[in-house]
Amino acid sequence: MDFIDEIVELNENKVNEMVNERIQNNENPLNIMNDVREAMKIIGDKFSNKEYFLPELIMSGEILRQIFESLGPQLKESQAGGEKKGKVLLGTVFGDIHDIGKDVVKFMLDANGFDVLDLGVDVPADKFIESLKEFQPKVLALSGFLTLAYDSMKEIIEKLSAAGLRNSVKIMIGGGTVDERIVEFVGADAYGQSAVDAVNLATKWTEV
Amino acid sequence: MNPEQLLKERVQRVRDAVALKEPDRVPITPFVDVFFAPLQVGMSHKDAMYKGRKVGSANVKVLSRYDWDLYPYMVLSGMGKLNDLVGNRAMKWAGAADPEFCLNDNQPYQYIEKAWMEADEYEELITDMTGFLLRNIVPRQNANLRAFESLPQASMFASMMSYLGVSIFFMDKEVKKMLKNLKKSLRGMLGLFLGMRNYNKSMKKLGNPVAGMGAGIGMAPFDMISDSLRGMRGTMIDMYRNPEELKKACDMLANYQIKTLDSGGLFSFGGTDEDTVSLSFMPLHRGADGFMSNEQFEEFYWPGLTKTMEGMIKRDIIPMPFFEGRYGDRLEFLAEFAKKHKGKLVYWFHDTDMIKVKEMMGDYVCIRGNVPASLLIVGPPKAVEEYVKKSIEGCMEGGGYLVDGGVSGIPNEARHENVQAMTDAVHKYGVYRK
Repeated sequence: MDFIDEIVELNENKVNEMVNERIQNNENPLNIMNDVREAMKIIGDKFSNKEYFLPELIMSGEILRQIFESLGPQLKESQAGGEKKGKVLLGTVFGDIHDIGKDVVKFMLDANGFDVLDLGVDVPADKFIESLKEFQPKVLALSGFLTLAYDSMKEIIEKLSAAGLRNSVKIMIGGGTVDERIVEFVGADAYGQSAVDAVNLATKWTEV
Repeated sequence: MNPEQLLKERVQRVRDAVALKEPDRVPITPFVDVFFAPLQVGMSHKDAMYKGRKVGSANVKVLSRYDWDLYPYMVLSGMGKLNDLVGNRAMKWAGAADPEFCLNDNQPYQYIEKAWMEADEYEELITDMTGFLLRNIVPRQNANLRAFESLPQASMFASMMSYLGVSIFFMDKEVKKMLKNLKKSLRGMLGLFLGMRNYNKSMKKLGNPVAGMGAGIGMAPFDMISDSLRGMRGTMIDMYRNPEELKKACDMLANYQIKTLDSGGLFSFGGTDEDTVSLSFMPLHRGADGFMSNEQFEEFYWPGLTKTMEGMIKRDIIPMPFFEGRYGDRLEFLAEFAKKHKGKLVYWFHDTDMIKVKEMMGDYVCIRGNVPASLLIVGPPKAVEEYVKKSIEGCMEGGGYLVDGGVSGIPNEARHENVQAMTDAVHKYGVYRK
């Protein structure tokens, strides 16, 4: 199997061995990173096809972390970024500290070439507005697991409207109890049941 | 009808439905999220964390407005003081004394999921689980319970002077301090227990049966490790790096849960009494569709969960797994288990197609659910009514159906008129016979 396949098959030890070999052969780290990106794309596709699930995503993230560690500080993640599809601002809304769903969405958007800024969890409305002005994303992705998140999402979107920014972004929401009713309630554009939905929505919205 | 008769009638209705017999009407048996009643009477989340007695009164006042067949037991509110005194590091809540763990006054408590133990500690965990958890995890999760670190090793107890091992531990200066602190914290919890007792008694007087706790809250062992020991990330990496240790730990935790059943459950004071229905709530987390493949589910998740449920059933306790999220990919597993234990358990669904479930396994298992949280919060009442009507029409045949909300039963922010509409719809559309 080649390097990309070994990553996709999550053969941790073999991948580490091969990375070290390539480093010793003085290979340009950017070549290695291109392979890694290719592998992550395949892993993302397998997740979309329900061949892979969270354990595979998490394990591949762990392998990726070790590759970065081996390549050392000379290679920043951004250097290996390649052509990005579009900007997505992401975060779990105020009052809610859940991060699993948000992190899966981030992984899948990254794997699919989006430029993602993740604001973390329990993010106040004003922080979203401020970051939106600076980062200028095409897509705003709001996550929330608790039912309390409905009000926080609503507040963010109301504040965006008040600041005259509502039409500058498409807004997707997601989380355990979010559905079509909540899209309407908070004034978003769409919701996703899974990270795959998030990628599809972001792709649709950034293609224009 | 006097309250005593009413109580009997309601309990029988639920028992019939669980046993897959048609009662006179489809029962409505909601769980209620911790903060619903306090919020309805104008208390803040912080008040609810610290004023157990008031929460008890709020529950009586708010929940007795609804004509239900089984009312939820009261837990987990009023724990603020206890959490402060043990120095709980595993959750954040409104009003916490330590600012690092304090949420604002209007936020529900939330658990902190992280790796409390490292993968290289598995060996210790599975060699001496009780010792490891007491000496390592309890102190890591509770800053003021650090004295457990000095718990003597088993060899100290395996002697003709086992009392010496015990005495040495309790004579320790830090242990003495911890015990004093614990005593204080138990006083701090008294409000909650009084609130619970008052709620249970008052509801009973009104003819409102409060659900028994059964064996307390049961868990899938995989979730116990994922939620409380290794974090989800750690546990899923363990599936690759330490699969045998992970499976062994899951199996041991299932055995310990079953042993707990034999020692009489959780609460000896403030609990409900016998003339009610006890359903053992089992909130499931990582078994849902999307979290893992069916093969991984079968290898890592399902064995510990089924072992625990079988232990309950053997002891005449009714397990009620709560299938949060979607379980459409797992229905074959669920159906097979239900077939083996006909009429002995309740499956509670959140976002799985209940009508499909009914068709697949309605002859074997009572199902419960699943009015969406979004609907109970946003409404309108007419939409709630339509949802309940459709669910009842699809699920009522032959008994075996209990109406409840999807997530947390009635969510904290639910509006009264929507909850009322849900209740009314059951009385209107759920009648088998007059």
